Amino acid sequence: MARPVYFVRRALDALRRGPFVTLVAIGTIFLAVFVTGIFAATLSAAERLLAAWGGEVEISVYLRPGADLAAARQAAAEVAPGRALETVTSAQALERLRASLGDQASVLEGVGDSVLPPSVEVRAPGITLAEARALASRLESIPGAAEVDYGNAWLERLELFLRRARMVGLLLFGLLCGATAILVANTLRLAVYARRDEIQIMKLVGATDGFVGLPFLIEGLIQGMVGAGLAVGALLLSQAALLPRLRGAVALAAHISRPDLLPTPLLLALVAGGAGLGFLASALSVVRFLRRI
Amino acid sequence: MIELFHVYKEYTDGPALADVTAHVKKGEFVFLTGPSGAGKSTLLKLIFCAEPATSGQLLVFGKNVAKISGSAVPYLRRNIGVVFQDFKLLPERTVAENVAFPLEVRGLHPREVRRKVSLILRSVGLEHKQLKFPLALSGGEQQRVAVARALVNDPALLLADEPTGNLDPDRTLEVLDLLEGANARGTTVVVATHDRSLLMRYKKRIIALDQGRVISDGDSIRKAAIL
Repeated sequence: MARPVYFVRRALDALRRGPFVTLVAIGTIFLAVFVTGIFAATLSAAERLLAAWGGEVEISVYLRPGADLAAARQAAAEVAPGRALETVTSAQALERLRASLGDQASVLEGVGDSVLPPSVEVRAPGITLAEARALASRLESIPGAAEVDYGNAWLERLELFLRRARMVGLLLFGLLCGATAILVANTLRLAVYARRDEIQIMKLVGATDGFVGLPFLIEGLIQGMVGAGLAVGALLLSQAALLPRLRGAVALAAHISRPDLLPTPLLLALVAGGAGLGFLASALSVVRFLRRI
Repeated sequence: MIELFHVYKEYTDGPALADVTAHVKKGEFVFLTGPSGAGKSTLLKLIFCAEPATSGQLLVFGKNVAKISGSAVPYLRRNIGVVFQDFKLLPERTVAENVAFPLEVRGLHPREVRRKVSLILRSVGLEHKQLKFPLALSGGEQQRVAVARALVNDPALLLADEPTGNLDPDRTLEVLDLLEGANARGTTVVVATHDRSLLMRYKKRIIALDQGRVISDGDSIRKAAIL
């Protein structure tokens, strides 16, 4: 029999012989991966929501008095291809201001139609701050442009908020991974401890550490894959149940789909991470045990 | 086969072996005797590298065990069979699986493993019980399984630590006969026991220990037996 087959058979045999420890290990990895997945999906959803909120960027190019509005629009269309453009004459700008002032519009009485500059407005949904900055910089060069406003003040604040949220998220994610690794290692230590007699007898009859340890590593790998696979399934089910409700509750969530919340690479990473976690936790446990005997 | 030169072993609560010097030649059958706490089990542990000596030199198969690397110890142990008083069988594995362990460790083909297991179980009279679990066997049968496991690899050296301590007189003789049979086929056998009747019955060399020291070494059974 080829040795790898022998070791896999022994690992499967051990899983079968110790169903309680196996279930505890799989359950621990399931919980760890599920919580990690929930966390990643929540972060991903928050980022997506914030991006949808912050991405409704409108860039206004204010023109100098007397500038050719049609030429400016033409130039803006070339600078920002595919973006929705709107030209606003001085009179239209004043009308908008009047409308926005409502009851206090009377303060504008006697103000001439040309007091506000004409402008070209560029709508850029889904744009990032860096892209908005670059687009604004290009729009500054269109003929007659006096000033370009892309709402940088609040966008900068939003970007800062997102950056901090990501950092806190990564920190929490790291802490969660560390805690998970310790939890799983302790659980798998139980599995190793439960078979201490077998290990001692194997060592007694001349088994090398590799011979003793390899089945445990395979066991850890299998338990990790099964636990993580179940967690991924539970995440997908939870997502299918919760996403329609989220869409109903938050208008911005209408754009969110399964790949936004649980992208396939994340799911694959969770399964691989769970398997790796089981493997590493087993390795830690068995190496520590072998050193003691 | 085994050479001890001024070997000391100390634990935190005191010395277990003190200035032990002895030689066991290839093919010998030696009883190691003495009262409880005399150092018999400690000496066996040093020989199969379960523990290191505190000082002195111990050579097994001509190799200084203090200089054997940790990774080489398993290969040394494959030439040593060990039998314990409490059998040390895995209760959830069958008799055949327990006996097969040393062969699997060596990476033998399953067919060869089955053949050797059958042969050795036949030699200890338990071939018909190879699918039973150890706890379904009597104490004597369990110890015969342990002896079979120790001998299945045809080891050059067999160490037995109070192998008959849990057995009635008839089963004791069965087990000792198995060890004597292995010795007759060329295996060097060292048996730690405080059973005076065995020392009287089997006319073998006796190394007597007391408080970690060798107080007698030779064929003088009575001298050792009256301890």
